[in-house]
Amino acid sequence: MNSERFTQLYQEYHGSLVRMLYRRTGDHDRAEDLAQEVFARALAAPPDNPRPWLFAVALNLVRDDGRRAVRQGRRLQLLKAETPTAPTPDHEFERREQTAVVRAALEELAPRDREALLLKAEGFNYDEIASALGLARGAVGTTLSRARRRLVEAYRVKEKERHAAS
Amino acid sequence: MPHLEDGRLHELLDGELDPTEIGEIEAHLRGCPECARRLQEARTFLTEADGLIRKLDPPVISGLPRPSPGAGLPPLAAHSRLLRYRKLAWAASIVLATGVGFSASELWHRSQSNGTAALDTAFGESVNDRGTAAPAEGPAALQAPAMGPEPVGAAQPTREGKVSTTSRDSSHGRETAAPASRRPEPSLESVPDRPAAERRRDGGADREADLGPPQDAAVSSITAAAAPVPAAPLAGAAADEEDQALAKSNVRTQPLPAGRSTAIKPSAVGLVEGLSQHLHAPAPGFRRIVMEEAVRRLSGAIRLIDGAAPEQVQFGPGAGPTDFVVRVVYADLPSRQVWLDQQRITGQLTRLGDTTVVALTGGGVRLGWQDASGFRLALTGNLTADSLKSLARRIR
Repeated sequence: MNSERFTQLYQEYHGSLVRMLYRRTGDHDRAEDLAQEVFARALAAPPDNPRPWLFAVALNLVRDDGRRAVRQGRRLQLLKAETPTAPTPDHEFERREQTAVVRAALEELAPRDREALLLKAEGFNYDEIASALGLARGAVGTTLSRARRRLVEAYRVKEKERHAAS
Repeated sequence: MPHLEDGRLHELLDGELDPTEIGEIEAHLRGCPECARRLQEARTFLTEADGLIRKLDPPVISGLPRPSPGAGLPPLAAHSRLLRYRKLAWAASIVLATGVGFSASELWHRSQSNGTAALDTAFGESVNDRGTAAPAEGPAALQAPAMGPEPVGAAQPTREGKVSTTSRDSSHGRETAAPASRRPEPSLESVPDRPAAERRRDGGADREADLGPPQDAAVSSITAAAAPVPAAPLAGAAADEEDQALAKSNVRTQPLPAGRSTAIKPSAVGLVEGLSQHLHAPAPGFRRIVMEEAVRRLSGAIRLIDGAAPEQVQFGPGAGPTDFVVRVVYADLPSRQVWLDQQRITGQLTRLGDTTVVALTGGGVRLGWQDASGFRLALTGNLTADSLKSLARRIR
C-alpha cells in the first residue's frame, strides 16, 4: 500500500474506528492503541475492502485484548481506587453513572449483536456489517433487531435498579 | 396472512429496502394493525438504542467540550490533535509527512446518529397519497429555525401562520449532472476549509438534474401543513458551549417576479418550535447521518443547494409509517438554519407543478414542491419567501 493510499485510509477511518473502539471499551488510551494496531496490520497486509476489514480486525483485537484485560482488571481497579479524584458536579456524576449503566447493558448482549450495533452506529450498511462480521446479509436485520431490543431492555432494567438503590 | 419479521421491519427502518419491497410492506401494513404496532415498537427500540450508543462517547477529547447528544459538526476551524504512535513510529512518519491534521471533535461527531422517542414529519401528507391531500397524521414537529441567539436549552414555540402565498415561479433549472466530488466546495457563508477526506465524503454520489420549484407553479390549496405537534423542547438538546458560530451568511437573494398570491389556510395548525441555541441538534425523531447514507437512502441521488456547504445531514420519519425524510441542514447565520427536506416519491406524481409556501408565525417560511424526478422537497428557513425561492432555484 502506498503512503498516499494509507494516509487516505487513515484520514477516512481512524476517527470512526477510535470512536467505535472507545464505545466498546470505555478506555480512550486502549481505543487509540487498538486503532494503531489495526492500521499497522493494514499497512502490512493491505485489504481489498478496507472499511469492513478495518473494523472487523478492530473488533477481533478488542475480543483478544479483553481476555488479557480481564486478568489485569482486578489490579487496575485497585489502582484506580487508590487514585484520589476531585469531586465532580452532580450532572457529571449522573452522566458517568448513566454511561456505566449503558456500558453494562451493552455487555449483556451477545458479542455478534453488540458488534453489529456498534458498526451500525458508525454508518455501516447491512452489506458492510455482513462482510465485517461474517454474517449472511439476510441475518443482519434480525441481529440488529435483537441487539436493539436487548440493549434497551437491559438498560431500562439497570436504570430502574440504579434508581431503586439510590 | 403471515406477519412481517422483526428483521424485515428493521431493514425497512434502516433504509435497506428497495422501493418495490417498501411498497409491498406498506401494502401489508395497511391491512395489519399488529405489524403496524410492531413497526412502531421497532422504531422506538431503534431510536432509543441509537441514543444509548451515543451516551458512550467520551466527555472531553483533547480539551474540547463534550459532544452533546445530537450534537452536530464542531467548528470547522481545525483543532490539532495529538496522536499517539507508541507502536507505529515509522507509519507515523509517513502520515505526518503528508500533513495529516483534522478536527478532533469531527472524529466523534461524524456518522453520529441520535434518536429520540418523538417522531416528527417535515411533510404534511403521506407519501402514499394518490391524489388527495390528506392532512398529516400522527405526531409531527417541524422545527423552524429561530432568529438570533436563544437561551441555552430553551425552545421558542411558534405557531404556523394562517396565511400562505404561492406565486408563479419563473423558469429555471437545467439538466446537469456534475460529479459532486469534483465540484468546488461552496458555502452559504465563508467557511474555513474542511479536510479533504470530509469534502470527499460529503460529495457523495453524483447528483442528478438541476431542479427547483417548477415553472408556472400553480396556486395550490394543498393543505400540506404540518400536523399538530406539541411544543416540547428539543429532546436531548443541550448547549455546546465551545461551538463556534459559522461565519456570516452570504445568501444571495434577488427579487422574484410578482406572482399571484392566495391565502391558504393550513388544514392543521402546528406549533413550530424555534431551534434552541444549539445550532447542531437534530429535531426530535431525527438523527445525524453521513452523506453516503443519505444518498443511499434516496436511491442514489440527493438534492443540494448549489453554492452552499451542508452543515449536516439528518434522517427522520416522514408522514406515513414507512416514510422517511432526509434533511440537509445549512447554516445561514449564526444560530439560524435552512433545511432542505427531501423524500423519494414511490407512488404516482400527483402535484407536479404545484408549489406551496407556508408562512410560519415567528419568522419561518416553508416552501414545498415536487420535482419531475420523483423528489418531494421542502425548504424551510427563517427567511422571506423570496429568499427561499432564490435558494430553491439553486437546488441541484
